[in-house]
Amino acid sequence: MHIPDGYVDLPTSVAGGVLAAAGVGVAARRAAIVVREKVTTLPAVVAAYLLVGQLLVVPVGFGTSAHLIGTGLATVLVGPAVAIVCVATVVVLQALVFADGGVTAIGLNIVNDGLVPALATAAVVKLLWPLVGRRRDRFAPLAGLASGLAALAGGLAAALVLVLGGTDVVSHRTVVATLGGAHVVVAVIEAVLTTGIVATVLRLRPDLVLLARPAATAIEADTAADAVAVAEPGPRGSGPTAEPEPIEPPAPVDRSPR
Amino acid sequence: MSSAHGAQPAGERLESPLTRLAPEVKVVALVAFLVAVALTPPQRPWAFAAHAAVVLTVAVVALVPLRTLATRLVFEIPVLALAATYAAFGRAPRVEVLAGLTLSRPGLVVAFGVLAKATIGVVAVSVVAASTTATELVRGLARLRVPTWFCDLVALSARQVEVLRAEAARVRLAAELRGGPGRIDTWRAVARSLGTLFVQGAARAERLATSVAVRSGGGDGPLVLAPAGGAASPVATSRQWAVASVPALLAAAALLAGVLR
Repeated sequence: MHIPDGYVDLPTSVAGGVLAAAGVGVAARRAAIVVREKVTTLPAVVAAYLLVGQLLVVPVGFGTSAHLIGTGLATVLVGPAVAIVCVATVVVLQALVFADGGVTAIGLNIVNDGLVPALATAAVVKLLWPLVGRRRDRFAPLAGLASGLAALAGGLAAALVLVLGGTDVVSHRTVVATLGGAHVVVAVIEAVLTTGIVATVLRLRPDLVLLARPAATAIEADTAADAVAVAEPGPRGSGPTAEPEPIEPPAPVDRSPR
Repeated sequence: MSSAHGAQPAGERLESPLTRLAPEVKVVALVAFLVAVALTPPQRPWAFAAHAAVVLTVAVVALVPLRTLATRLVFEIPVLALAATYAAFGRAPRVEVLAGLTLSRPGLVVAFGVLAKATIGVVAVSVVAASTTATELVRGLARLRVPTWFCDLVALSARQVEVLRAEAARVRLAAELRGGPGRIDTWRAVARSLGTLFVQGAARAERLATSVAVRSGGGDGPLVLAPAGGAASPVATSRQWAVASVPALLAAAALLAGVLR
């Protein structure tokens, strides 16, 4: 879930903002998302994909429906660094344009929905992929398992945030049990959908599943090379679409995304 | 676990007095208002009544339909569940509400505060979002010194949402025409559709990269946004700042009254 406005005290929110800004800055640099002060196009499309993907819902009974969260999926497809930047974009758009999740909690939501699950997914895949012999037919269930565990980790991170910055009216154990329990359901849904989606992508375009590529050690370098390749500039445009210089100097990468 | 992102397509806006305010003014006013609301102690219901009056007044000025506001409130369902946890499992003293059923009094107070803050927050953001296009909002962020690359990324994603939404509709139609297992809203069908959609999206990113390289040429110049002084959105004046600070100042006054009393 997204933490709304006013749920967590301000010091915790500010700490979340600082952590998110630093994490997204490091992720952007690692993935070479910014090339010559310009952002590459893949993260924007993946972020939009996550937003649209959440519109496709599956009924789960009791009048409720489930949808994908997608951090684990994005991590498997494009690597943890790009995934973190994508989720940050999604969280900002959801908070400011769709009123989903608090504006003052943007940083915390980036940490809980982006940093924690992306790193958890990458860690699980990296750990277990060699154990199943790096066989591609075993990758989709592994990706599902990793994203399910990641969703659980994200839920526990949210519980930790509420313990640190929420109220002391209920015991910490109750907070962790409630959020953890709810996220068990979320994790199962996430695992099932991610398995199916990754299996489909592996069948159609196996090269698009970054973490399933044979040279797992070359992941980051690979991403960087791709990013540079797509952003390699052509001749300077001089037509009517060429836009003038920005007036403001480019800000440093690790500034707050708020 | 609900989806109501479709209430208003990103990139559209209602023409209203709020439209003429510069986006960075709206963003700062919004955050200031929300911080004041967040700091208000839940033991002061009348302070929240004041906050609600302020935000509803702005909603009326901004001509936001009540239906839009109501559909956004579905995002509060998980908050409702947690608030219920506070009321049910909060510490003593407990009050009896129905035959034998007792709830925690401090838990009820906290639950009220959490729900009130979340509701006011959703309405406040919806009011600003309804009067501002996504691109304008991002331009506001850029003028507030959020890194240019991140603003570009958010703006580019906002545009791609509409493109991918149309693509998703085509994928869905194709699946329905093929007949498939019958219903598109089964686990398997949703997973297959989303897998197909990602492959389409990746192809889209490659085309986009080519067009960006052709269009903007060298390493300088913005990718998406016009430069900070661009003519497309209003420029902040001191009068705008003064007008926009009124809701936040009213909220701060209510907060102060609530804390001092």
